[in-house]
Amino acid sequence: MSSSLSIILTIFSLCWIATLIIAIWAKKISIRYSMIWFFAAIILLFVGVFPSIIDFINIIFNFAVTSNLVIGILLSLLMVITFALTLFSTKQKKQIDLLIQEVSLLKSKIKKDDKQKK
Amino acid sequence: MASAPKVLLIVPAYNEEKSILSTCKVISDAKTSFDYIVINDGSSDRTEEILEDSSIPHIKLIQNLGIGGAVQTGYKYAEMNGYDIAVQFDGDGQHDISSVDNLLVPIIDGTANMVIGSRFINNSMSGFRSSALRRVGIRTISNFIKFKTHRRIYDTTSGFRAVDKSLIRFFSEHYSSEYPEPISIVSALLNKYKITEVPAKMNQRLNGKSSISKLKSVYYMINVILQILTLRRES
Repeated sequence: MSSSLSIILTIFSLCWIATLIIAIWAKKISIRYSMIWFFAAIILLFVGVFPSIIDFINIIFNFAVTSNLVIGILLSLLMVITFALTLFSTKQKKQIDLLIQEVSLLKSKIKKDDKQKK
Repeated sequence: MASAPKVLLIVPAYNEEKSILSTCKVISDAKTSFDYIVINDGSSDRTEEILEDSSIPHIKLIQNLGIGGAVQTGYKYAEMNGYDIAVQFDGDGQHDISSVDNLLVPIIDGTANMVIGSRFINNSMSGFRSSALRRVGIRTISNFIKFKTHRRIYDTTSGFRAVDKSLIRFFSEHYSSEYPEPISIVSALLNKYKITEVPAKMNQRLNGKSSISKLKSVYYMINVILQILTLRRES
């Protein structure tokens, strides 16, 4: 892997980690949901700081250009993150549906009780 | 059941301002002992206003949930209020009130937990005519249900169905939010509930259009088949 790509990856992942920490401090992201982003940033930082690792891995995958392997790793990480977000949004949809049902039932009960009192 | 069962008609309604009043009038005029509750699924038209003005018993969902979420709310209401049987009865005038008694018989006899009002048994009774494409779709879903559960259900998309107390409890916990009619059949069969079909009269809808347009039908088939194949017994 070229040294320029290695430097770019290192700077990019450090900025990424800094952004995550700032977001956590500002309470814009919870630790729970930032973990997967930290995990991705640390992998990239590792690749940036120790570029020889990526060259070693490329012996197994045999990409024509090492930078393609880096892009491949990035794509894989994004797919994992997107899948995790899909799981999360599905869970949230179920929770919101349940909330809507319970609130609506409760509201109709309150309304009915009020009418009976009058 | 020793005494007469407590029956609730669940009437889901989304933007049914043109037909909801006549549907409710049909139910009231039938002079049955059934209670009914309209689930206004976050309608954006005058449905809520009509329900309020006419003092029709209803629950207003604060957001649109789709047919699955609306009907499940009805099951939750039935469970909360101790109903023995819940009947799904469409708000668009397709279902015939005189057929409800037929749906109740197998449940009262104790031979079924769910009874589906079918358009494909004793066709002469039904005034409903679906397109050839729609019939192919229903047949395909029926084959997938047979493959998954080893049971042949003919009218897999009929929303006209009655369920007993045990299924009211089950559906108030587990009910598909998307395309629930065929999925709830598979879910009930996998969980060892008994299902039967009886002939039921169905009319063409009074107003509005089906929730499944031609454009959505491909998505519908893929979604339903995937749901059927991936469903598991609830632990």
